[in-house]
Amino acid sequence: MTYCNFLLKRTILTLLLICMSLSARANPMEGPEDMTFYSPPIIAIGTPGELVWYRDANIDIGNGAPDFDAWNVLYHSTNSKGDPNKVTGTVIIPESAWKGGGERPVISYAVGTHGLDQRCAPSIQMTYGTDYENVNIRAALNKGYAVLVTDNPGYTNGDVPTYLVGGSQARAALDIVKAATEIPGVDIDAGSKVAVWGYSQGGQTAAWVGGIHNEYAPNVNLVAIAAGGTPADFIDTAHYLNGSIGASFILSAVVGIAEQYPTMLPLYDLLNGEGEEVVGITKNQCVFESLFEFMNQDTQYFTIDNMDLSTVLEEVSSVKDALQLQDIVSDISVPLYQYHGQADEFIPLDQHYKLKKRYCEKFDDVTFALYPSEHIVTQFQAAPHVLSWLGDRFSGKTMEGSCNVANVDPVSTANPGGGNFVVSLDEWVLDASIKLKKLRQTVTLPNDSTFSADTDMTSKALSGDMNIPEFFTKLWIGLPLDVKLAVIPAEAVSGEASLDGEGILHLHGKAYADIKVKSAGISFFQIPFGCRTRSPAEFSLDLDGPVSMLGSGDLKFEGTTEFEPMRHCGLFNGLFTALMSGTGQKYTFNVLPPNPIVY
Amino acid sequence: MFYNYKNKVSVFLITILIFLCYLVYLENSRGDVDGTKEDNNGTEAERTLNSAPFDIDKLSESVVREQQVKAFNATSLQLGVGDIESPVSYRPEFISPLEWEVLRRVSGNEEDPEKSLANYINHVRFAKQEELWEQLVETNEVGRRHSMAEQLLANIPSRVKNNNISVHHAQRLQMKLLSDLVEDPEKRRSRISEEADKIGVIFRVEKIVSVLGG
Repeated sequence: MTYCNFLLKRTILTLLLICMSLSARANPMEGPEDMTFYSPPIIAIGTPGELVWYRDANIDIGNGAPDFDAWNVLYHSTNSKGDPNKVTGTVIIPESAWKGGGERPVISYAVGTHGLDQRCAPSIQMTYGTDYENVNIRAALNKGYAVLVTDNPGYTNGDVPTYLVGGSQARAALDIVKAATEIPGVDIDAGSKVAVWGYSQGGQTAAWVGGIHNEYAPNVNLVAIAAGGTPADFIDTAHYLNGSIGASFILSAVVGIAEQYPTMLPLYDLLNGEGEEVVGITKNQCVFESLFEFMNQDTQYFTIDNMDLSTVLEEVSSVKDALQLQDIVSDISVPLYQYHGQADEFIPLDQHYKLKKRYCEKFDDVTFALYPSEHIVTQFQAAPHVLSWLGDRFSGKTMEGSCNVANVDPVSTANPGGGNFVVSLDEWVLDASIKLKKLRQTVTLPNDSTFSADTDMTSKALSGDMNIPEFFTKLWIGLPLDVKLAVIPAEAVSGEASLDGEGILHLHGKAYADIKVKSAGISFFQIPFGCRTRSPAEFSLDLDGPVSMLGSGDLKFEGTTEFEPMRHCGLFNGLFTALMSGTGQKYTFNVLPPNPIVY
Repeated sequence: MFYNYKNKVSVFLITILIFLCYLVYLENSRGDVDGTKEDNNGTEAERTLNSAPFDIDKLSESVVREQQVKAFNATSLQLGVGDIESPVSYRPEFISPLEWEVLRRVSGNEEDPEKSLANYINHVRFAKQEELWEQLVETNEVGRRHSMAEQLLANIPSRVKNNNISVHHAQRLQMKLLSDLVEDPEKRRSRISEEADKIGVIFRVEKIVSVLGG
């Protein structure tokens, strides 16, 4: 009798689940408006990519975004072991109709490291307008693409993200494509061309997608992958990070991988007391908080018997296996754009370039672009190049990759690890102009002007210099006289630089330049060569904004300054003082990283 | 014969009379040239000079040099003189013909050319006076230097108001000038405070203590 009751109850429950599942498939539910959205209904079952529920999302991705519709989604997926899970994410679609050919293309945007705490989830960060990747998402929307942003597994209530478990992340990035098509009235076609674009953690996700999509999600019409700053070799990357500026990434990775593979990586069996404390802290932090808190820390101080990383990997082989499970296999069947910063201080360049070579052994539509700067800058500098490349792939343009480019292997120019976190702007392009108030003339600095600086985020110092090649620009002073003006850097650039826990960059400094006047051509109007402002003009360099500004072309300093009276102009000091000096001289200094090189 | 002689005397007297009238006229004219009728817009002679078209090709280095020096020296005569007001139709003495032409043409591009020209002229005068004061610092001409310093101090608020110099620059210049003018630290502080007030700055004593070392 008891067994009969048990069977009856199981049958009813199964029928109920099947009914709910069928019902959900036919008409996805609107999810709750509060944080219970992140608590999946326990009885919900479904196939990968099936939408559990959705809701309208009120997100803020910053100024310059087109009008769009957005939804939060919670959908079925599977983890790297093949077990079902449920993942949250955001679907964003421009309001304006797609103007290109065919259906609106879709970008599954794979985010970089956000942090282990639930509040760091992209869907939550976008709600508050604080997601540090907003600028890239905006750029993709401005191209007219639908942008799908998975949070990655583990941001549902009570869970821990399986951070850097490539197989789980890749499945979530593919499954959100199907899930998005199930939102009622959404402007995404199931057959739309899809690209996956990601950087850093997202680069790992994107590269993993290349390896599994044929088998896991063959119905997703994947046409291209862009993967940058990719950790392809986990052991190599772990050694590079350990004890270095990006030490927090290895700490978070250990937590994330242990969450997925608790037997292979028995975290709490390996940690000492301090290690347990560190893990507890990391789990409650977002990326920039962890970055600064654990900068240059070595894992050996957190392990039992203070085993160093090499010892752990040698003595507990399953840990090594768990890390190596996240390595990128070199399978790919769609065009691939790989990119990396030559001065990347977090993810080693050489292991990513080696991956390119392995890809090229099997597939020739691979392009590797080498960007000049460090990790964070490259993420945002690359966006327009990536989107241009993706645009060509969506439009079906064929191109030759860089497998046959005969360059010697690139050599890293990263600042040494273990020291201060210094973002070096090495001979960046200085696109600058000064508008002379009285003469109403704009003086544009030569194209080959450069700005070099070290922004030391640890000591909070900015130091550098401007290099402006000698140039003269003609000035109109009412008479047909050959009068020219030059801007000559006078003192070093100096000030303060910092990056806060919210990912906001703060730069406050000064640059100095002499404003010089000279004449030639008419005998009576010879101005002595030394004619210049009595002391150098001071240009304030003030900027507070998302860290993405470093690479996105938004490192722009604007303001007004005063030119001192002119001196050493012979008999014309008074005239040139009246014409040139005074307040209200407007300037714009836009500092841009140099262009990438295809390798 | 007598009539003939009488006629000749009459013609002679009339000629003398006309000549005398001419001398009186000339005398009157000279009074104007000496400045008895000078206003903000210069003398009649200057007006006549300025009505001639400016021909850059006819200028030589020596002429320009002479004109520039003359105009520069004329700024030292501009003591106790306030801002020249618009409209300024004729070249002031402390503006050389070349400067005049440049300023007229440059201000012609402004929204309010008349006002702009006056502002340029006042700024040029201020700049020349500041330069002159700097030159006098190296000499023993204390009286002349102090007069120039006072002139500059009096003119600073107007230069700030017309955006020729910033408040920051103005305050630095005030301090430099008063360091020259007032020896007693206490009196100097008091005067700095007074002058700062004229450009809308509340002067803090603790700051000047370190600047002046007093």
